[in-house]
Amino acid sequence: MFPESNSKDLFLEAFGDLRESVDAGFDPAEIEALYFGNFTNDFFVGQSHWGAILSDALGLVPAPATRTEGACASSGLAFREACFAIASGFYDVVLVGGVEDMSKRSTAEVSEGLALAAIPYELDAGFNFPGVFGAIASAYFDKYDATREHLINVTIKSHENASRNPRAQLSKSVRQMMESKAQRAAERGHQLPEWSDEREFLRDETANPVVASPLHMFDCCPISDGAACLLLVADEIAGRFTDHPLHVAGIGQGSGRGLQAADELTSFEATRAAAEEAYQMAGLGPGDIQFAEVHDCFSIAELIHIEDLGFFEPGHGHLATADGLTGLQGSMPINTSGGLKCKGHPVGATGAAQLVEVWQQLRQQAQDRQLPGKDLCIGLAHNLGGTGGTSSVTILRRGA
Amino acid sequence: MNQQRPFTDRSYAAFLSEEQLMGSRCHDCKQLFIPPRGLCPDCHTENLSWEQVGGRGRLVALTRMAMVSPALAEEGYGKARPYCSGVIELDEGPRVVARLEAGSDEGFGQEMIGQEMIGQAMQVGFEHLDRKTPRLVFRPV
Repeated sequence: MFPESNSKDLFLEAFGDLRESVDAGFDPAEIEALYFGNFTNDFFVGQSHWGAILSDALGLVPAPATRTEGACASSGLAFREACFAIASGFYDVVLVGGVEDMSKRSTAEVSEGLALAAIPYELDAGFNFPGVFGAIASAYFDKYDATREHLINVTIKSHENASRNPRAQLSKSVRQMMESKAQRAAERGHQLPEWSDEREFLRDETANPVVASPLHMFDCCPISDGAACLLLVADEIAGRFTDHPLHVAGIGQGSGRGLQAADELTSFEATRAAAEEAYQMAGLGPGDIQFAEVHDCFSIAELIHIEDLGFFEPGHGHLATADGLTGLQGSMPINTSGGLKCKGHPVGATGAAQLVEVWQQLRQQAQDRQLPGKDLCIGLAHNLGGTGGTSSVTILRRGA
Repeated sequence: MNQQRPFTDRSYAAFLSEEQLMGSRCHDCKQLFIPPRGLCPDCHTENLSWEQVGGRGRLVALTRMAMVSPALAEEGYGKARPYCSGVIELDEGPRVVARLEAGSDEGFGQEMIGQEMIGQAMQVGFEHLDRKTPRLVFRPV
């Protein structure tokens, strides 16, 4: 969290990182338009009209700035709109990103803000966001004989990946967190907890209290501040910026319904539609994807997404995760960044931040969490908004 | 009179305050929608009419929430007093989302509720609060 920074500061910092990352550099004056995702700064900081403010801060005035809102998928949507703008031939150089500034309000207020993205019927029934995903988890457990132990696998993996990501908000492995808690207890002369390993730590109701059963604190992403941005340029001029551009192979977006009307409780129809569109455009299938960032706002969500995206059969996501297939060394690494769970989830920035991770992996710039293999060339980012109402899927490819 | 009410969330709430769980049925594809829709999402026609359901169903998903919204915190819910919500598949087919109660003081907020409740037969109830929309509550049969 960045208590001293507002949305403008956060976005400027992301823009600074972007400038450093463009191999041949670029002149900001070349940027013809800005597309950015933001969910609800209206609520979080009482200011909704950030387009012009960011455009001014970056020195882009009078270039147009367009905000997209798709709840937690806001910047996934911004990226897709920016792709259309370039594909139409209207623009050649577009800045796309997202920002969210959440930590200036209390946890209760942030939950109230996030609830703006839920379905009103769900709210009337007393559901909050963790509650909706908790209910989905109960349906998944029932349908596929899964248990909380399967969620714990996701949590341990996310923290493990994040411990290799210097930008992660929660940058310790579960074991490191457990050990530092034990050490603090020892220093204060408190009775030492008797956790034999990190699984036992996560089963401890005091260390890991319930939020919305069966989800506990370590199943939920944190409240985050953050921004991310990318430079999207027309194919013909990409060579001016770098000798190693990435190509947008496929984009897709879908809508879905709430718990009362969704076609299934253990799958998101918006994701399936977005994935199908992106795969079709790319001429690829799930088997061609080498790694992915998926929208793990809650541990159960990751299990469902890796099934909806076709990486694993329905009901097999929890088994694949238990077998280590989604880890850094696995056959289908998921959320190498640490995911929303640990990298953080500044909601309107998340879609863009996921693409930054895919970009770093494909360009062999992911440092300690770099996936091996010179053949690494196709990655996917999956962004989900609300309780499944909106989803976007983007496939990036290295090389022609 | 019922037939004249528009298919809006306001009408749905008005029926709830009269202790009737009402949906709308499409005459073309015969689907039943709860809460009601005025436009069939499949046929895209407005050939629908109100239909009351019995209010019995099966619990298909549930959660017990210990982290609560400010509004529910004001009602006294929270870590020390969690509450439960769930998804009920009605005998007539549609799913509804609702609060869950055990029908006793111990209630659904306590540890007694868990994964084993999935599949439990449930019956609708209406909790009249000091606000426009009564709360839909389901209890074990």
